[in-house]
Amino acid sequence: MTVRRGRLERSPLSLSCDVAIVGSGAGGSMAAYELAGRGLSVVVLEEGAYHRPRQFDQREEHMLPSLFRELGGQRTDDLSLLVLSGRGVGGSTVHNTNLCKRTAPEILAHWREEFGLSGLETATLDPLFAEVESLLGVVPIRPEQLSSHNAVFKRGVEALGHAGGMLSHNRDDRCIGSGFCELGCAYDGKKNALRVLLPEAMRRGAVVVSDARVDRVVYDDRRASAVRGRLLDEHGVPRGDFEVRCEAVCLAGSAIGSASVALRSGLPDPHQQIGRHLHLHPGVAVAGRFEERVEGWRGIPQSYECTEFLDLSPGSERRAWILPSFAHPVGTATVTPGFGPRLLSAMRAYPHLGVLAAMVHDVTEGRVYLEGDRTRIAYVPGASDRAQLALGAREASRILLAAGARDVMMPGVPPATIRTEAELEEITEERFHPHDVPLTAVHPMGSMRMGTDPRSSVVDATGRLHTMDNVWVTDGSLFPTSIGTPPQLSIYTFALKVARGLELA
Amino acid sequence: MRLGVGGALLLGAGGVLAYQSSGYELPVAAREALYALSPKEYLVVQAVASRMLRADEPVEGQAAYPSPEELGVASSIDVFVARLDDANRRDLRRLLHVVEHLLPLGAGYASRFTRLSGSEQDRVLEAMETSPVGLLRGAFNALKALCAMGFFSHPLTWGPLGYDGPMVARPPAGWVETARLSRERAS
Repeated sequence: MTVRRGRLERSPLSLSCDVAIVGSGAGGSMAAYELAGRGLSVVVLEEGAYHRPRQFDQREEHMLPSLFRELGGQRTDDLSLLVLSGRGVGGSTVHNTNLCKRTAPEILAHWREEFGLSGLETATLDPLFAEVESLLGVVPIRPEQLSSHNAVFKRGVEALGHAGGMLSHNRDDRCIGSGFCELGCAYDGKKNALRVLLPEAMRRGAVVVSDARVDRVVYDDRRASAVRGRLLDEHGVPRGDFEVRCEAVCLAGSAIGSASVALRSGLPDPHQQIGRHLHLHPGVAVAGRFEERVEGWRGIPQSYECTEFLDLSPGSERRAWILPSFAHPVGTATVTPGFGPRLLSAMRAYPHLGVLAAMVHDVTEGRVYLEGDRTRIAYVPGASDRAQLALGAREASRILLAAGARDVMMPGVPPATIRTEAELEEITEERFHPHDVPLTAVHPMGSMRMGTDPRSSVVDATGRLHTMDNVWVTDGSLFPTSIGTPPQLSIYTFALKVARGLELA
Repeated sequence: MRLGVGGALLLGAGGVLAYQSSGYELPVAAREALYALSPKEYLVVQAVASRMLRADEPVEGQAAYPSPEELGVASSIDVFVARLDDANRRDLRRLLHVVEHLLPLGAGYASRFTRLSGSEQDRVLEAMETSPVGLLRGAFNALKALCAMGFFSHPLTWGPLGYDGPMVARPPAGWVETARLSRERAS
């Protein structure tokens, strides 16, 4: 695969094509694959760098800044929530943990009924999901691939009689279970945008340009005519300009990036919907300390799930999805309570930790906005979601204790050590005000949501902006609500659906 | 790193305080090796890292941690700061001036952070970590994350952790052996 590197291209770079795609993650790569397959000329523009597997050196200090927006430090505007989203050719598919779940039928039914969206019937979408799963080689994780960390989790779930099961993923036999998935796969075991879709899109004629940050869509009235931006050097510093003239634009830069580009461009937005209705799936982690060596950094990081507290029906008050969430030393130290000797002493338990996260199917709506030249994220979990974070933390702690943990640490101010039922019951919504407990989100979605009413949505059921004739959205921005499950398969599939319906005027 | 409106006011003060630069000396070689931080900012980072990463007393059989000074944590933070975009870099640098001049006052000390004793610096950091002002807690976590990145990414800290590090330099023959599989085979 030959990616054109913005850091090496002569400036100003000028290209023309049928469709300019902003972003190369799940949504952008699938759009490129499909549109190039239809014979359209496609240029994919990616702000981040192009990495090959041998460059994924499994070092946090190298890979976190390289593979994530804002060097891995992107936070909401009050600093209370870490938002990790991808940057680089392949986007978040390079560093995600390859979980593959279809959009739940309850979610799709809600979107049809509440937002009047047609074309989201199971009969319509199931063949698309199946097509994507085939393309990406989605298979159930085999029982023998269960890591010691996931086995501990499974033991706790089963001891409590909770609903749980093995997950599916898009890895193949190149995977050796190294456990470094979140730092990029050195073994090229992920059948993702970088390995599958972009090479095939390029074979079909698509051009992929890395280190190319799109700043704005150029448009007149209802028609976009180009995208413009800056070529970046190896440090991410602008070094030149580019322009890609086009007949259509697909925004696929994630719910943060796509909304940011749309806002910077001043795309028509009479009801000020762009950037609104942002969902994040906020998550909280708790750590059990075991007598046994768990060595949670080894093996497939997430292969088992607990769905006992996850009901995706509208109005549900069981919206916590619990799964393993082990991090390498830097990530673990960042959320381990205290500093100095207390922190360094607590870190000695590292091989004995079992860490679970509770991710909330959130009803809170945040916002992507611009402050001067900066993209900002406003998001403060509401009371209902704080209650779900508490439910998730409480039940994840209970699972760890049932699995044999001698105690459970919940980071926060003050941190909590949990050993008893009474201590479990003290984990309430009141502990989850901003900054009280470290929260992390890895699934931004919904900032340019689908709907039939332009007063409350940005794009229509085909993914096209209500206000533009030739601008589409092909990433998680278009989800009308939180989806409550890992979004990559949904993003790939909706991108395929949008791209397949995209017609040039 | 972002602090919102309240934080902007706080950091605005940090911007003013940045002009207070006397009394911060670094050897020429160390000064010339800086990528993003001023000598003053570097010394504040060094002082924060020194307390944030102060080692515990290992019990018998445990390996001792190296010191953040041995590992050059402040220098690695300087390199990281150099990679930040302009706005985030500006915010972080201002925060360092707030830590140096304003937070000691809030903790009851009429002195710069870098001139406080170690235990006094700990109390300033504790006040920041548990501050009723959420933004200060957020800023504490950001500083802690920087220190953690500079320290726990270093192979010399992995022995005390019991972590064996990246596998790319020692590729296994097949599927990674987990502790569970090892135990099962041993039993």
